[in-house]
Amino acid sequence: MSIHLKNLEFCYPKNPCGATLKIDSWSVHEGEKRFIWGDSGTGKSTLLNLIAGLLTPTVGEVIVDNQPLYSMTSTQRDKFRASNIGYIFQRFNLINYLSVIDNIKLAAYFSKSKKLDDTLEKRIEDLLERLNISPFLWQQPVEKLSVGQQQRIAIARAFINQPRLLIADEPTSSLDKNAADKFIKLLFALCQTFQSTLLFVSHDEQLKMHFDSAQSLSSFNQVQG
Amino acid sequence: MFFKIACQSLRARKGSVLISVFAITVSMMVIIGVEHISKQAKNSFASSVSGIDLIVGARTSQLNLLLYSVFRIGSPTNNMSWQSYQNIEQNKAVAWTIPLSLGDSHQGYRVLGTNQNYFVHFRYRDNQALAFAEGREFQGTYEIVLGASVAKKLNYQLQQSIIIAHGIGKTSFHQHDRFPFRVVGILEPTGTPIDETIHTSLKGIEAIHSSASKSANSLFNGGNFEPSAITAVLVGLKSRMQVFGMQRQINTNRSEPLLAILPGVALAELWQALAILEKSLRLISIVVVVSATLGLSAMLLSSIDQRKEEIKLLRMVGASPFFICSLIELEAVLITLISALLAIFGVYFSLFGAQQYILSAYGVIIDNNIFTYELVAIFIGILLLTIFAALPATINTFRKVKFT
Ligand SMILES: Nc1ncnc2c1ncn2[C@@H]1O[C@H](COP(=O)(O)OP(=O)(O)OP(=O)(O)O)[C@@H](O)[C@H]1O
Ligand SMILES: [Mg+2]
Repeated sequence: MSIHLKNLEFCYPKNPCGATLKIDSWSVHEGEKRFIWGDSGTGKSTLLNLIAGLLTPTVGEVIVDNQPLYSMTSTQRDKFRASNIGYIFQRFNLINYLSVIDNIKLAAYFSKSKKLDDTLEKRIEDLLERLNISPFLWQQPVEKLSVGQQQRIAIARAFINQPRLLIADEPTSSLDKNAADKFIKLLFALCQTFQSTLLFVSHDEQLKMHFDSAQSLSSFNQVQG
Repeated sequence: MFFKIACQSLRARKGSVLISVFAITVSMMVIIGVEHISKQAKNSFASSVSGIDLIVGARTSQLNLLLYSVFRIGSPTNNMSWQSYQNIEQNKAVAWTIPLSLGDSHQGYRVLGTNQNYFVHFRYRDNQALAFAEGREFQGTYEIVLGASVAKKLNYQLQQSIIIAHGIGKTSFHQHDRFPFRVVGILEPTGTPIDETIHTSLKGIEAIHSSASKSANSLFNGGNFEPSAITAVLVGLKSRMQVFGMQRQINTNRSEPLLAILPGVALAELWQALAILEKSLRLISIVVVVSATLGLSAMLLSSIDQRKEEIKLLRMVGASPFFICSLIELEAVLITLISALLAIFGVYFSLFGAQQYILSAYGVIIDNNIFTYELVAIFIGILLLTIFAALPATINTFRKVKFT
């Protein structure tokens, strides 16, 4: 799924520092695996939120999958995000009072194929097996799981709707180098399976070696943190 | 899914949720209880006087006469003469009279001297006549008829002999062991003070009062016995149209200072006297409810801060701001629903338990059927209050959600 930003400017309301992002033109191609690095507080998460349609630009255009997000209603954006975009955060990827299965179902619930059809159960099981989550854990509330297990369930959740764009916001920051490498391999394999475009953000420049294309946020954001 | 999330989220926050549920349950019990009991008390009082046109007694206040003659509350200050009673009875506007002679007790239950008219003409609730569970009316001097709760509480059977004391109060110094009375009848429960009363003839009362020196037999075997005085008389008229005329006639009677009252008017005066109490009770119960919902409001608002990540995540998987705000409202409503159920059952069962006590202590029957329009109104009111109480949390969330 392609992404284009045009003459974009974003500032948080009442932010004394002025704009957080100012981008003339920037794009990601369909099927690409793009890595973006940048220091903390430079606006990486803000950029991802704009692409996901959680924030709307102060000025300018966000075009995702050739659709102008900025001209959609907020309901349309929510629907679009639920159906097309998978998201993984550094932490708090799951609602901890819901079971593993329910967390994944929740993501399916808001997507276009809202009907919790019979293939859903199967798809969830396949994903969880592929991610090496033992069936004993499936009905457990997620708060009883380890950080690593939770992070893998987050992947399952992100991929359940077969998203065409996967956004990962520092998903490996709480993992050690070895686990991080494994995590990225797994992410790549699943992106391959579901034909998802990947947008991966981190403050750790080192990770760029895994990706087709890598750039720093400061290289295209005119606001310098 | 929506409902499931709300339930699970409440379960995950058991501690604070339970405290809120408890606070709202208690406050709802207070408001339901107060409303129900005050309404039932009014009904119960009104049902005790349902068929009476006038109550006549020695001159005192309207309320006092009503309370002691019908509700057995307080004691009569003066008696009225038998002559005045007969004058009333013979008045051509009068359909029936029930003489009442009060002032004695047995085991703390009031003893009422009256005549057979009582069983014929007395009406309670919706024109219901008294009915016997067992036995018959009294005929001889030493016969008594028990109210339902008296028989039950004291476990008295037909034909049992009991001693009646002179005066009011559980222990009395003048116990006339010489005159045992015999139970000849037991009434069906009525839900009025009658259940708490022991009935006997006017002669029976005279027998209790007669001094030991007099030979009882010589006194009461004579055919035309006349008591010297009675406490009050309940009057039924041939036509209700005559009630004011009759009242004026009695009140202006020159031979003896008497007071005739319309029970409905006297009751209205009683409610008016109690209105301030009723209003303050209602105000207090509303304040209790409001403070409980404020507590809920604070609880929800503080939970929003702890749930920042959860809300962000819900947004990310595609939940609309509306969904999230509705979720918070639903959680609040669920807390209220659970509380309402607990409160309704709580009140229902406590009334069930307290009914008997209230009846015997105050002569008021409280129906434990609380499922009335008032309950529905209270319930809807509290539900609306809850929705308002959740608004600060909801608005806060909505603002947060807009700028992730
Ligand atoms: N909700 C908000 N309201 C106002 N300002 C915000 C808000 N969120 C972020 N900011 C500001 O915007 C800037 C960029 O924040 P952002 O979270 O995008 O940084 P980041 O690059 O993701 O940092 P990190 O690597 O620590 O996650 C920061 O200076 C931050 O203070
Ligand atoms: Mg960030």
